[in-house]
Amino acid sequence: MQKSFDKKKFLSQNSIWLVLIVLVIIMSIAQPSFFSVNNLLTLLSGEAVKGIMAFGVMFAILSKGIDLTIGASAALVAVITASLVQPADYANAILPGLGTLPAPLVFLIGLALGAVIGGIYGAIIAYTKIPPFIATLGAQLICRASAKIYTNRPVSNLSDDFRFLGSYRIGGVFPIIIIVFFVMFAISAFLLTQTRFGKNVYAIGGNDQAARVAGINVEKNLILVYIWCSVCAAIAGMLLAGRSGSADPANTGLNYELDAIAAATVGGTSHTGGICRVSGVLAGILILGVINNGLVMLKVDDNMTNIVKGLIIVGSVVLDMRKNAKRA
Amino acid sequence: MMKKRLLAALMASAMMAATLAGCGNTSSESTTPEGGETAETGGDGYSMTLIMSLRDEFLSTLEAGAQSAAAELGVTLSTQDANNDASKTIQFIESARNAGDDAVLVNLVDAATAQQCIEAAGDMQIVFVNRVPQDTSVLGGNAAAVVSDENQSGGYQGQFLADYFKAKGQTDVRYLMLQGTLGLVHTEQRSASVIQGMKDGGLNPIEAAAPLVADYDRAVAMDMISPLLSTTEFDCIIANNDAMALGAVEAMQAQGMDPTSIPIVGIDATVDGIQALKDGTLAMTVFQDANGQGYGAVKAAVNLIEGNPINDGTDYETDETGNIVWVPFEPVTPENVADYE
Repeated sequence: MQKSFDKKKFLSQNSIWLVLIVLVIIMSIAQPSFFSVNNLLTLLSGEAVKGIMAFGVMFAILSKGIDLTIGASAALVAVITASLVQPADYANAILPGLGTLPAPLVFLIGLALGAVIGGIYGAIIAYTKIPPFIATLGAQLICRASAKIYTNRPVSNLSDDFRFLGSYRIGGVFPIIIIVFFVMFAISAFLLTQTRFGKNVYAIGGNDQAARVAGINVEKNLILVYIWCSVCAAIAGMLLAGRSGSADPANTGLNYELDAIAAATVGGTSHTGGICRVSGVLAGILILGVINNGLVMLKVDDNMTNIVKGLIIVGSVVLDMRKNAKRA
Repeated sequence: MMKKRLLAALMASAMMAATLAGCGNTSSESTTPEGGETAETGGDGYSMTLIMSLRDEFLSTLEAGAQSAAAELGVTLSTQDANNDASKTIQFIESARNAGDDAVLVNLVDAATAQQCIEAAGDMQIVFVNRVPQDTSVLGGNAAAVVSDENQSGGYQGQFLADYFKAKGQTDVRYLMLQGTLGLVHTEQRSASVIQGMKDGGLNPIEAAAPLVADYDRAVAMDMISPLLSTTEFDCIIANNDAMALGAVEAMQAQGMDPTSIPIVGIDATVDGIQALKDGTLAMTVFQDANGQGYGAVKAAVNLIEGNPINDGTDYETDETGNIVWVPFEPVTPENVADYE
């Protein structure tokens, strides 16, 4: 009896991995070169940036919020940090004469910038109690516009050191961005399951009044949620600039927040708050990645790819709602 | 209950499988090679991917040109849309390489990322189409470009305006300019070359107001130019593309002004642009041969694979390095508009 209960719970909690495995098998049969080492590395390095954003936004969704800012804040951080690592003698430099700052310093500046941006709209959400959808929509517009005010042209010719995390391949083969992705996965998992902060976010998402009564500082934890979200976006932005060698104020990270939210959602993060599994979100990222990559390999028209993605996003939430309704 | 959940999961997977299988079928049908003229490949045509920066009207015409060349040459061609995302472009190039393509045709999102695209392409041939890399020295070896000389397009606009105003005996010409997205090479070249063309034609162009950056968008152009129409003195409106020129036409009509009273010039010769030219609301436009660019790009890719000069089998000329194929622009006026319908 006990044993069968465990199996049931295991299956229900990990059904998403089954979906992933089935998808991978289908793709591998339809296009054998899908399941090659090279292609799996391509797939992972392509999803890394959105995946890192998903690790951020899942905290916001878990707290019964949302973060629409992350694509735009990634762009803002990307153009600012990129402008700090252009060579001084480059004719198209944004800050001529400044020269190339050391990459670690620029990364720290980027992280700090991300934290400040998230701290500001996090505080607005926590203290004014306006819906996070509205607050982060406003922040999105402001961040995107700020990026365009900062520079009206793509920032390119970036130093190799700055591009290291985004584009370096170990032995010329293994993209280091994949390691960054899994490190971010580990940090997110640790934050969510092993720290008081993680438990507080679960509690706030489940019932913020009860959390408050239980002595949790709801405001402080909400601000931390959006700081984390925004720091993840900052990392994603710097990786994006490093990967493509250019940060474009208009297009970098455009609509990435939607892909990140989709991945977190497919991964079983409930928009009614309080439910989230990091492993599920990882699977959600990989499922969308398999679809993105696999359908390209199968030479499927990209419009059709988006139809499949749309069906999967809606379908996964329908499944989840049913599952969660039964649990309640 | 467990059965139900399992069932649901299985059904979802089955649905996806069905959708995917459906997609797979359509793609394999549409990509049947027609046993091309490329004799060396023994009828087993090359495989290529066209990666577009954005699927708009112009680039869809380019795609059609590429597809007709592919059908003619027995090339299997598929298309991907990078949605203005330079990072996605690189992702698609890597996927094409992993899928074993012989060549990629890349319509750059960001002209500064050409080097990264070439690196991602590895051993594949890579042809940049429509947008030239910012640094053309990255071309050569397995990389080439099939583009139009954007200085030519603005030049034709300038020449037209010079002829128009000289016939009226006017040399001081105040202009309003609608610019495309800043930072794009062709925006800068179109804007600079039209002014140069006016000067070369003996005019004295005067800025009636600072250039408006309307991102090649009709609605944005309309909104931006509206407030200037009744408050500024101007003799002509110059737009970096037809969509923005038509936005200016709309804005004038909305304010009860007659758009035929002054010359409004565009670039692209889109279907709408040609219609406006016939209506007289647009004075001239410049035809950019999207179909020719797409066609030339597939030709160039096949030539690269087979080690021929990249313009082999076409009427197009190359630049002095032999790495860029120029697909010419053509001015379109009411006199020759019938040829472009």
